[in-house]
Amino acid sequence: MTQEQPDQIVVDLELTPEQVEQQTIEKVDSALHLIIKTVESFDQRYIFKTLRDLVSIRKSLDTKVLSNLINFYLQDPYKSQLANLIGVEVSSEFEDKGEVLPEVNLSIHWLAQLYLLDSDQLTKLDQLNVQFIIPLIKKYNRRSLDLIYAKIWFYISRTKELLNDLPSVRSELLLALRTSTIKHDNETSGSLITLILRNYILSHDYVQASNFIEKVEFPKNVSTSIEARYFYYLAKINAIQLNYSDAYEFAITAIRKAPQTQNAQGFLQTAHKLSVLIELLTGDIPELSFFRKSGFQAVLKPYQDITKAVKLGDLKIFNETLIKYHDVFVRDYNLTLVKRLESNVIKTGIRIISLSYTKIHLKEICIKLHLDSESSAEYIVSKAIRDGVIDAKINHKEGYVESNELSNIYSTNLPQEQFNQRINFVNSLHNDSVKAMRYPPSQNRLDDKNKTPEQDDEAELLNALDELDADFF
Amino acid sequence: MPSLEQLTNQLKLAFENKDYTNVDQLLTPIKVLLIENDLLIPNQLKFKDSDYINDLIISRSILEIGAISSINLKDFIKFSNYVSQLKVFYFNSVEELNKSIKKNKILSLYLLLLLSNGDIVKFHQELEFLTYKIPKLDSDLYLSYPINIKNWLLIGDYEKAISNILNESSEVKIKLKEFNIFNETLLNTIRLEISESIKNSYKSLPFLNAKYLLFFANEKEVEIFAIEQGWSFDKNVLYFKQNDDVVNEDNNIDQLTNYEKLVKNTLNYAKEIDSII
Repeated sequence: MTQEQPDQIVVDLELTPEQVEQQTIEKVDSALHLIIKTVESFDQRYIFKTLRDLVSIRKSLDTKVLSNLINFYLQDPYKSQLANLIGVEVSSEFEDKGEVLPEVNLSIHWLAQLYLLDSDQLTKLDQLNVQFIIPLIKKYNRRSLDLIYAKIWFYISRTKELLNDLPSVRSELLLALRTSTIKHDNETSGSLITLILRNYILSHDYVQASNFIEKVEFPKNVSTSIEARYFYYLAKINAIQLNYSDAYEFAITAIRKAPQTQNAQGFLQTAHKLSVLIELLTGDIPELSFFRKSGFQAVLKPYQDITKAVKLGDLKIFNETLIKYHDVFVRDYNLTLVKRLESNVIKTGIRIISLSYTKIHLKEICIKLHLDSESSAEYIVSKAIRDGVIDAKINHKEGYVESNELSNIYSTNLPQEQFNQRINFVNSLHNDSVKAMRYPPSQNRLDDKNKTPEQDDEAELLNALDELDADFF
Repeated sequence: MPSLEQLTNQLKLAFENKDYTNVDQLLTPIKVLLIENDLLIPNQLKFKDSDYINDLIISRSILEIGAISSINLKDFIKFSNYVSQLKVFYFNSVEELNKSIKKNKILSLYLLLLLSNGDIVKFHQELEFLTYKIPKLDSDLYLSYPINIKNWLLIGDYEKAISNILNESSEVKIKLKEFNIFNETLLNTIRLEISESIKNSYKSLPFLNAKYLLFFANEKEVEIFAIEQGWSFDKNVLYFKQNDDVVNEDNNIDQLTNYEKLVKNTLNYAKEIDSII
């Protein structure tokens, strides 16, 4: 059972459309063979690889390829259902191959989903989802389908999102989550949790979203891309709930877990935007290099300008920037978070003043920060003292603020804590990688299996059981 | 048993006469009837039926009456329940249901309620929801009131917040008298906030100044408040404990635990290295 599958060498030569098509079909063929192998070997990795291979042919999917696949692999009723929906002819020239494997069946449905989505036929896609795919999902209960289900649910939910019909799919998603949790189908559960969260967040229902998070437990051993998404949503929800320090950690985890490829660029950009805002809200200023990463400069420009305003502590510049980029922030769903920064702007303003003066009249503060009255300034300064932004005392009689003597700033454990944090990170990285390593099944066990092909279905049960049976034969 | 129509008319009459206790009593049988007719919670499946929608508009106005009278009776839990029921009407796919004259009034009252309870997390969640559901949220006459107060509180501009709360003749307050119900609770919440700030930022403060800072009417009230807070005062001057000493002690304790922490961390590293090798 070694890699007998031919290597896919992509040649960038001028190809005729027929050749391209032929190549696509071949790729799908080999991918589907892998699926069959999965079912035989009970090894999820093959299906994982298949799904990855199939994504690469997404661009070259068209009706011809699909018609070929549907006619070749599927049986009635699925064959005619799918063919009618997509609008291809049913041909009976292919011989009957008996029962279709559910894995193959669903993979082809998934490809159909991709095709309809890419060619913008949303109503048809919705019809396909609701009428055929959801009943099909409910029909089968096989572990080898887990990864495919996770993918398919993503596209079902995405369709509803594009059709602007978020509430209607919620109950289906929740129901599916219950089923997949019972079956310990982690991949699908993880995917569904992120989808449900996304559903709530897009309809701005943070109350529901946070209730949902409290009740649900995110499964382990899920693809990192799903995990990254989950952490991003957690960051967003925590930020809305003013829980900035947790939110910041989640945002950073999301960025770290996200795949660093071209495809994930959009996600990374969004996550970066959120993390800038959260960092600002916690009172820190992100480093300039953060905005200079290639591919991020243009997108992060509004956020860089806001950062500048906060850094200067100038309310006027802040408001100007806010008005200038108002539409961008609305589009990013970050407007409320940006608006919250107003108080941070004033706080940094006060901090800058207290750093440069040991003693200053409230009136001066009032002018410098563009405040309305001296008494407003007094309240604001006293709140800043309480929040620990500055270390000072107000003298009410004389109307001035006096900074306390600076304590020795070098007597701190900060470097030690930083160091500790990094060591812990490296350690956990090491431990995680050890845990994530795969050990191929030993040669002995393979032989056992070959001797007893009858126990196909149960073979994965337990090693002990395996040997026991082998004794009997 | 009287019909729904009769009851509704009675309800409207009582509401116009501001007889809120009566309204409250009338609402119970009405709600039972609404449930029987599938009208208390909008049924999505029937949204295409225009008669049904018209009936829903009536049940929405009944709920609105319930919300406003419960706030006048200062029954805030009941009010919150009405708001969550009304939200289903306000935010769905049917435009006729979404538009109501009382919508923004009730929502702003709800925000104010959250604010006066100090439930900031919920306030922000609601705000996030409303920002994208109601266009021009900030310039809305009613909704801008709680939002502005929240902003002033966040910055620490208590003077503006208080003057807006106490000003009963402003445009908003005349149009929606219910805002005044929260004046007292909001004032108390803000006063506690201010007292927290004062404690940390002054060494001493004469009663006369404290009176202005805390928005009290006379110095006697300051004295009572000071006793409640456990502040020390002498000859009409408040003195705040210098917590420098306390801070230093804290530092000492921190230092000790720091040494322990260092040892603990190092032992932990040793264990990790051991397991790697």
